[in-house]
Amino acid sequence: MRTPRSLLILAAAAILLCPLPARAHHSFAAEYDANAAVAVKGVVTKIEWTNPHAYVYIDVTDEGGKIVNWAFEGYPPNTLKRTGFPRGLLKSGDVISVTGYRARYSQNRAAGREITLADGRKVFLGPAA
Amino acid sequence: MATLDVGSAQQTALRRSAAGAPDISGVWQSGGVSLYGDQGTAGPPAGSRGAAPPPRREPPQYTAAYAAKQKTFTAVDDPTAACLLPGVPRITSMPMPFEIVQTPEKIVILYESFHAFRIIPIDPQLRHPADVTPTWMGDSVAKWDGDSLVVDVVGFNDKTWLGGVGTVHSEDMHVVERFTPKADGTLAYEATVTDPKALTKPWVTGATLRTPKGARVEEYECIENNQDLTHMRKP
Repeated sequence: MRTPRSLLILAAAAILLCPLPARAHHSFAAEYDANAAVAVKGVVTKIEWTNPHAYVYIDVTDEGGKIVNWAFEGYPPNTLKRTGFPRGLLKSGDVISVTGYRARYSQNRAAGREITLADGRKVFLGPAA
Repeated sequence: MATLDVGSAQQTALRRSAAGAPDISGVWQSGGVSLYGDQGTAGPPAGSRGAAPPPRREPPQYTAAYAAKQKTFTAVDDPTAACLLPGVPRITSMPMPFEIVQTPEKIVILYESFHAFRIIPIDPQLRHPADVTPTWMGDSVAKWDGDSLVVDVVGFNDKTWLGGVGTVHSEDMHVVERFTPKADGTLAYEATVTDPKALTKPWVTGATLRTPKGARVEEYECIENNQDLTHMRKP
């Protein structure tokens, strides 16, 4: 389908209008690989509702049956709350699916992007790469 | 889906204080997903689409010595990655709200990011104290110029970055900020940075500040659980 030229112009204007770069705390690329997408499903073992990032830890059973604990980094708690992910939404024992981007230098660690809850609801955990 | 009710193109008269100056008090933010309360997107509100884009910003132009110094840094060296204060004007670009408190005698800016604050006396002569110690956020003094608040900032240390990787400066950095309220309810922000040791010409940056949807300034204790530095490496 051909995209109308007016829509392309609007999209370009939207990009140009975006404010200053909005990374609060650290460079994404220094820690995570935008080209290494990861998607896992597992059981929440711990939630750290902390700054500068919240962390969600989940036990994931790998292909060999071994349980591996993954750490997914997210927005700071204030940002999560403001974008529809309140404290208490997740609790240990919940089964969730998470997408994100793998850490460059650490195993079983990722920048979280989106969480799908057991009931199908989706919330964003962190920014797109 | 959240309703976009910020930064609309609606024209309104400027709010004014009893003394006649524009009233720029309130909560403001330059960007970030929480600006609109929308998940995952940080674009402008629908009402601002089609507006003129901001001017293209040129990167800082460094003297030879500082260009060489800049090359010695990587993203791992970013002071804010260690939860240190971002300095001025970088603090304005942080994706968190800040609140301006205004009186006839002073402006106070309380930033969510990094617990930063600025107490800015109003002085038409823009006089700084004689005993300023170089600091991360510098020493600020302001005056009204028509409907713009002009803030003069000196007294910086040389440890903050202007924005990009290794964008260092000297203790001689001088920043002039202009906060100008607009009829559409936004607050235009522009900062001009000069530094006779580091820059060959002034560096200009800016943003359109908007009132975030339903947000108030809350606590952000960055050092609480800062795991990132242990998972980053210099390339």
